[in-house]
Amino acid sequence: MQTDPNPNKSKDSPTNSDSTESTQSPSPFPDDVLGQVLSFLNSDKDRSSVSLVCKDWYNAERWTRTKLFIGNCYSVSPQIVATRFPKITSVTLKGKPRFSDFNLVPQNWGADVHYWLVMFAKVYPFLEELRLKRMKVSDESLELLATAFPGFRALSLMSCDGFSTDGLKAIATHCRNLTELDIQDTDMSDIDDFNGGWLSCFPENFGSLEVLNFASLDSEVNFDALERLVSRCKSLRVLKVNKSIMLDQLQRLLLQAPQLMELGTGSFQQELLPGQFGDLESAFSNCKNLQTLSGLWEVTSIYLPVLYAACASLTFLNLSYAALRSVEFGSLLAHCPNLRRLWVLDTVEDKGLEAVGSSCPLLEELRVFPADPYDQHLHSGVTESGFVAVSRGCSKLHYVLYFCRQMTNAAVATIVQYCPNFTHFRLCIMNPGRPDYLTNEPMDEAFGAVVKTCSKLQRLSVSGLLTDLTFEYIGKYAKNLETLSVAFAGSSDWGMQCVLEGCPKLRKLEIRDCPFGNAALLSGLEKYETMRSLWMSSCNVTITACQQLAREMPRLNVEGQDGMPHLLFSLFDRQDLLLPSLMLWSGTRAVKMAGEKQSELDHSFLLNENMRND
Amino acid sequence: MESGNQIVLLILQIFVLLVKSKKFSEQLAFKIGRFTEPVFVSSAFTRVFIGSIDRCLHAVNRAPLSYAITIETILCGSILIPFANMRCSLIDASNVSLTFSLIQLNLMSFPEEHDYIGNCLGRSYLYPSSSSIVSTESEKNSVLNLKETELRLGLPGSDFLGKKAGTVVSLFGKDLKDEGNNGFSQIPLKNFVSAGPSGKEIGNPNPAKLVEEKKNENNSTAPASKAQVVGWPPIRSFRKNTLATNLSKNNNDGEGKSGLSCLYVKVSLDGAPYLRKIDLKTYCSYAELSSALGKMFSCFTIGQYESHGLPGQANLRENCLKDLLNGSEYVLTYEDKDGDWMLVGDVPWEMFTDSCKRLRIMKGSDATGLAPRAMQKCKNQS
Repeated sequence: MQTDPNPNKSKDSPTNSDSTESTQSPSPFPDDVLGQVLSFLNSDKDRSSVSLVCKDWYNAERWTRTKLFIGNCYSVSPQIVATRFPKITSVTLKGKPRFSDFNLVPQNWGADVHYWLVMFAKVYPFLEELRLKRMKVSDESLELLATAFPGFRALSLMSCDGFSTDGLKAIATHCRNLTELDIQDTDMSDIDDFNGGWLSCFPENFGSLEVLNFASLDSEVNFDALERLVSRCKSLRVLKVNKSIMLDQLQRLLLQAPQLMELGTGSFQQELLPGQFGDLESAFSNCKNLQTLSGLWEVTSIYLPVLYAACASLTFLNLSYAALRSVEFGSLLAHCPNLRRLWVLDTVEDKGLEAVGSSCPLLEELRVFPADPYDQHLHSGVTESGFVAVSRGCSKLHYVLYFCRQMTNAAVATIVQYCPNFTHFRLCIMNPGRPDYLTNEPMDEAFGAVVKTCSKLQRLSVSGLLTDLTFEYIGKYAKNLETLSVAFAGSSDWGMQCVLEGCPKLRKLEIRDCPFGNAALLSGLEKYETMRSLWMSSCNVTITACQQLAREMPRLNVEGQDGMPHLLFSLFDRQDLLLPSLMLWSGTRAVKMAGEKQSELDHSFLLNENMRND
Repeated sequence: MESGNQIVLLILQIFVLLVKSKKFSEQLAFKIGRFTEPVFVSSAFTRVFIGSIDRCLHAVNRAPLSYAITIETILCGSILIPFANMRCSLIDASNVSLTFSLIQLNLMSFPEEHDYIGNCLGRSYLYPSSSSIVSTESEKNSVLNLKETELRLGLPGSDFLGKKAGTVVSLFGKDLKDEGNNGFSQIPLKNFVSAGPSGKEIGNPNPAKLVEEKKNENNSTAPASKAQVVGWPPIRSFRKNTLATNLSKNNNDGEGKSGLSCLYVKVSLDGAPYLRKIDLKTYCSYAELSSALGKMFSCFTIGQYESHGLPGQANLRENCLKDLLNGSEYVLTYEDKDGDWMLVGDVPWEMFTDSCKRLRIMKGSDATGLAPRAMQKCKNQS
């Protein structure tokens, strides 16, 4: 444990060493003791609080911080980070706003990790872990990562894009100590490596991998290389393969790694001979430690039974790519008594959810995805009764993501009565603006019930026909709310004002297609500095409000997308134009401009106090 | 044809540049067929319109299809536009007139409304007066009865707009033709491929969305009977794509065709070091598909072409895959739902997109024996 260099005299202390020193009482702790104590602090929130106590603590904290979490890569510049924290070994960076998952953010919005990596290579050559979410990662960045950090161990890319298997080759070739390679939900560039050669790039003596997840990679992989890799890595506990791996290959992999705790299977669509079936079954039954099971692409009822033996200790079952029917789903569930988290497709229908309610009393998280999201007339999927059934049987439920086509206020009220401990309530009624289908009233009372009953609510996504009343309820009752997603809801500016004035812990607000305008936007001036970001698209906000916002809050970054080609910016008297989308976050304009070339940002304009008209 | 396109492009670009350089006064006047007096529209409208043209330019640059664009507008004040002659419109130098008749991408689709004009550009911007207040639709419509002259976006050649496929849709309708300003030739238009796969571009000239307007813009060329809202329901693209391919396989028990927003299939070329993925839903015909593939893989096949000693042709990139294939030894095949490899082109396009799982450009010698099976399957299915 590194002892603290005397922070009071440290020249590179970012705080101003002015006369405040003399007015402070000397810290009761010797510096190295303080450092020791603080090194046990892991939570970022705690560390932020510590750093605000006094200058000594600020310095002690910054010298002992090893994990860096940046929720919005444009809220701070790499230089500031480098100056403040000299000893970072693990970095988590998040980039694009969440709505970029749904194609609401232009392709070239930014969030390129490269300029961060360049800085890290200079200042943190001992970097070990990098976790990125919704950032653009080029092959060049991956190569830099692989070569500039000799001790690099863990790479996690969630919803990132911009790279191809060439970048992965670099990682595999150069990272000798790699323990984790976790690629999730990625839309790879559409050039696929034909031979899956990147797996073969792991050296023959390499065996340190503990986590390998390439489930979302489309390309075929070299199975022999994979099998050899798995057999070499004795500590492998997470293996999630992609669809190209067939059942017989899976069986061989399982033979090599019965110690797995998390398994993502490949494709289940294969004609197996009876002998192979038995082999697969016994391979699964050998996996006594399995806690997470996912993948299961194209699984059919014939093959589900091979999983039964491995399900006893399962806590997380991800069937969101397996279109199961209620009967086979129910049979599978009967073997999973310890389930805590369950992701399913709505093909299991309400009957399947009833089975969930009866078979999984320990369930804490449920996500029901639509198998066919765009068919508006199909009366399939799940309804409110499925949700009620689950809530009746699973009193520990606190996280739900539910896609359905119809819902009633009464059902939601019942649900939260059964499960008052919701922390994440995300209800998506897929037809925008749909009222309570029984009473034809707005869904205000449903979400009112949620916020009134669930005092621990942190995250809420609303849908259906909603008036300002919903937002009054939210502002009044949802005191722990941190993330709110709103779409096709509200009647006037008042709704948004209620939320901005009423929710003290609000950090992320995402709004699309709502009638909130300038008055609403400007009502939250002080609020925005405490928030991570605000996203508004297809609302009634004009650039006048943005300019005013930028003028009055110089530390806010206001970015508007107007969907128009760049040439229109010079025609600047466009106060009346409604902005297609707007995002604001605290941070300096320079941060967004510094790393990217101007031409990449043609679609948007950034404003702050020093804005120029060009 | 080629040079004509270039000229049109050039003129469009000049026009756009002139707007940018503020050579125009605050208002452009558009002569709308029914009125004898020019109707002034605000600069905001102009900007929206220009923006749309610019987007059109980008689209045009990518799509190697033929098109006809006539530009003609009447400018007010002391604006001069030193335009060259266009091949397909009449520009009267003394009047300095440019007429716009422009086909837009399907940035909005309203299947219920049949208007004789098939273009639309953000109704909220079509002000009757020079004031720049954003008014609601009904107000504007009542003031000037603009509904009939309302500009609306739609698929060129789409039936639901009440126009026959292949006609040039003119802003000024029949009046212009009657005036005898018929220097423009009515070149049939093919469907524009939208400027990018669905969802990639946020081309949004009409930000004034009222809450009632739930049907949002959609960049896909899928028929607008399912008007999809961009980014709704909120499902990640990875999940959407995976479910889409899953569904297209498990479609046997009469669940009905789902309105998939995209259908990615892999395309491999024998001998190429990597394969590509394309979205079949962005194409409407074999011709489009083969031209897109030709561009994608031209770097490989050109090499082949030349090595066979065939006379080099100007603009090899312009040739679609079929032409290349005719001269070389490659054929385009696909793997269907049942796992059989068939020649592309034998079955109707819709049937093809339903059953195609992946594409392979293989050497002709490997493809022997495919043709008879394709015919047989067709017979079995029909």
